[in-house]
Amino acid sequence: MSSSTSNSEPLRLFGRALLGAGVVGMLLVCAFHNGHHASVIDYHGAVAAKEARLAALPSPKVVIIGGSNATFGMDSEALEQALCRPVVNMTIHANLGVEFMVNEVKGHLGPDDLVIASFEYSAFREAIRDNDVHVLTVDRAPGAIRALPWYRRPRVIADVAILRLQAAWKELLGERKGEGQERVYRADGFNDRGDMVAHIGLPQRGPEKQQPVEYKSPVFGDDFLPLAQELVDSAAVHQAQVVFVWPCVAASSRRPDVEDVVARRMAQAGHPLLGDPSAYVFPDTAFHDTHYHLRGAGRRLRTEQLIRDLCSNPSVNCCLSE
Amino acid sequence: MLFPSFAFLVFLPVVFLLYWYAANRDLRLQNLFILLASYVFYGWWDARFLALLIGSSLLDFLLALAIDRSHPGRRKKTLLVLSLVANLGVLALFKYFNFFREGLEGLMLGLGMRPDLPTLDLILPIGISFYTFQSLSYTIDVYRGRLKATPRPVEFLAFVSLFPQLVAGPIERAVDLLPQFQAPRRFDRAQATDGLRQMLWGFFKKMVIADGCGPIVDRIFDSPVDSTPGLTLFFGAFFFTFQIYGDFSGYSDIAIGCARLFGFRLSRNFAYPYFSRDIPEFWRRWHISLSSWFRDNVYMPLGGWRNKLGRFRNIMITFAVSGLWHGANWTFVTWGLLHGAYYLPTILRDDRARRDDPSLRDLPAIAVTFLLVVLAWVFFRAPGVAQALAYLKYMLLHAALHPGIVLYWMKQHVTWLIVAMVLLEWKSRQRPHALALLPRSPVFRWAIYTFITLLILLYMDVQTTHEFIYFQF
Repeated sequence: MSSSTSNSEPLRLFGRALLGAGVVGMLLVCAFHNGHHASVIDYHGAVAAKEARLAALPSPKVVIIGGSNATFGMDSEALEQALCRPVVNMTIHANLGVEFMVNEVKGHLGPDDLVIASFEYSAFREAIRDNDVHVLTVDRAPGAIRALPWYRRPRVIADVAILRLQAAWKELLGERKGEGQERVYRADGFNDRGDMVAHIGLPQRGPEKQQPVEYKSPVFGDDFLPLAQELVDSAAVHQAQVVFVWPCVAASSRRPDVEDVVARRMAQAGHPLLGDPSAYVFPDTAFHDTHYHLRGAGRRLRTEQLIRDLCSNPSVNCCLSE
Repeated sequence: MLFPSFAFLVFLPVVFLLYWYAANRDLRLQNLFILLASYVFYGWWDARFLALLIGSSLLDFLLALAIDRSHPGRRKKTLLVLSLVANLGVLALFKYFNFFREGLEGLMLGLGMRPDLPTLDLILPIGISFYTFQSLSYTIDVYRGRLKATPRPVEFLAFVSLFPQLVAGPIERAVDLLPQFQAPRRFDRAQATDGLRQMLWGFFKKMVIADGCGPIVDRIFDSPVDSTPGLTLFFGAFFFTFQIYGDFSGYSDIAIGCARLFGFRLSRNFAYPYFSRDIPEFWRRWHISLSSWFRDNVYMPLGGWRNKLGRFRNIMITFAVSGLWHGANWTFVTWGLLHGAYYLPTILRDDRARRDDPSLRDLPAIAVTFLLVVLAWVFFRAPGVAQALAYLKYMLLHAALHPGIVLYWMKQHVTWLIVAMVLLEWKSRQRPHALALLPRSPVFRWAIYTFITLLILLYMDVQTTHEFIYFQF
């Protein structure tokens, strides 16, 4: 039995569909260059400045990677003084995923660089993320596309173009008037080293305005360790060093059972986390809007604790005299 | 793999070209290719459940062969029962175990016993209700002698898993679809081109209407009903009415259109149900493949319409089972029973089924039927029967509260997009889909395609993945 198609009809239909797709593609190219951003909030635009600083800093340097616990809760200037190396804080959002974070820095490491990896607990469970944070980041910092695997790039670019088209449409209808910049989540809320500082000094929020940490099972996924190993191996090739540190967390969101699993799995893989997790637990009042985002005083305490842990580790070159 | 996804955008053209140019030398090769493509499509979501799909299909394949070779009698019946038990057993295990466990637990507690029944925490395999019913229809058809069992496993596996309709139908009868795997399929340009148009319309209904209504519906149904204006609650039900229509009929249009690209004709699943003039007509136009499956395999074996009293009972049972098919929740059963109750008075009327197309003269009847359907959807969407009743209660009690809110809901873009969709579908109500009625001029046609694509781009939600509602069934 044969069901042959000897003619070129399917190819002709395919060609016409391709023509239609080409029209849509042209439309999206125009949308990509229409001058509107996907969101009026430019927080993710800070990635461009962080990447520029990372590329410009000579070795030895300190590179902080991880989620927003390190964005809000690290004092890079204090770290710089303690470690006698310039610091770049690359962290911005946990939803970028460990894969993105590792890809972003691994090509920029050099001799005696120190990578401080401070991941939220969700990162151990889900190290590879595929969500709108990538789209919003690429929208504001197009160079960030390089930190994504090649096969995900076309979709992210298409999504950026679609969101920009929708933004232009909303602008045309006058529906963007109500949208405004955030007080804290903005690109100029960061200092030169990449720390978020716009929240420092703001009054304390009530517990109802703080987002607790959300835990899901399993605590530890399959993707994290290969990526952690990739980072460590890449650092070793360039004579750099990686230390994994505990994220800061609010007391009411603390889960010792989760800490135990993370500590055990990381130690088994040869990447023990530095210090004691209980030393990075702070009262809820020390946090801003989530149970990962420290306010000014907590940020200072957390950094001091981190410096103590780093400097008590013989493998870390520390110039701070106790 | 979801239809509105980047992965499908790559998958479809690759499979299309390979199907017509690499796998077209031999029908068996083409069947094998479409089978493998279907498994990739299904496995993209979760490869673990492929084993279940393949296992249950193979079992039905073997049982049907045995049924076909058996003489009428006990053995033949036993084989059919085995197929029913296996298919419905898998369905019961994954979908209804905890539902029935809770029911049994309640019953035992009522009898003063202290039950300690196990619970199962199973992920529901996507599309299980659809492919199970499709596979079952094959053994039933073979048992009834409507069809010879196929000796070629690839043919049968491809019939069960044909990717356009695998996860959410239309539920095809073996007598209709299986022969299409046995005869040469030739590329028909007119069919394929119209298939693309149908897909475009399906994407519009899913990505613009359904996904546009979704967040509004969630917001309204999640708000406290006792402090929400009744008109807002009404609009919540109204938007859900179009969300579920856009979602499911959109999926069906994409599925049917996609199958046409590969030379398959799937059965019609929706025929503009919201233009129905009474409830029986609604059920001849809504999820047609499921309604007819239940008619043939539940209602008729129960005795059908032999007498009025029996007919009442059979209709209520069929609607209750149909409700339960949608999910293991009393809300679905109530929804089914409510439709059954809507249906009963039309039996007393005893007039012949309407086969003509609705016209403007029928608008009052259409409006009443639509309103009944909207009210019933509240049970379908609400998390529980009590919540649905409260929703309906406050919808009526607070009907006069803040009448100005109507203007707010009327100003929503999606409201106007719904109006546009309804008008276009009304105009095309004698055609299989709304874009089947287009001007002859290629310039106009392309302008319409571009305009609809532009609407999709302007209103699609790229930041959230919206699965099809019926995937959960």
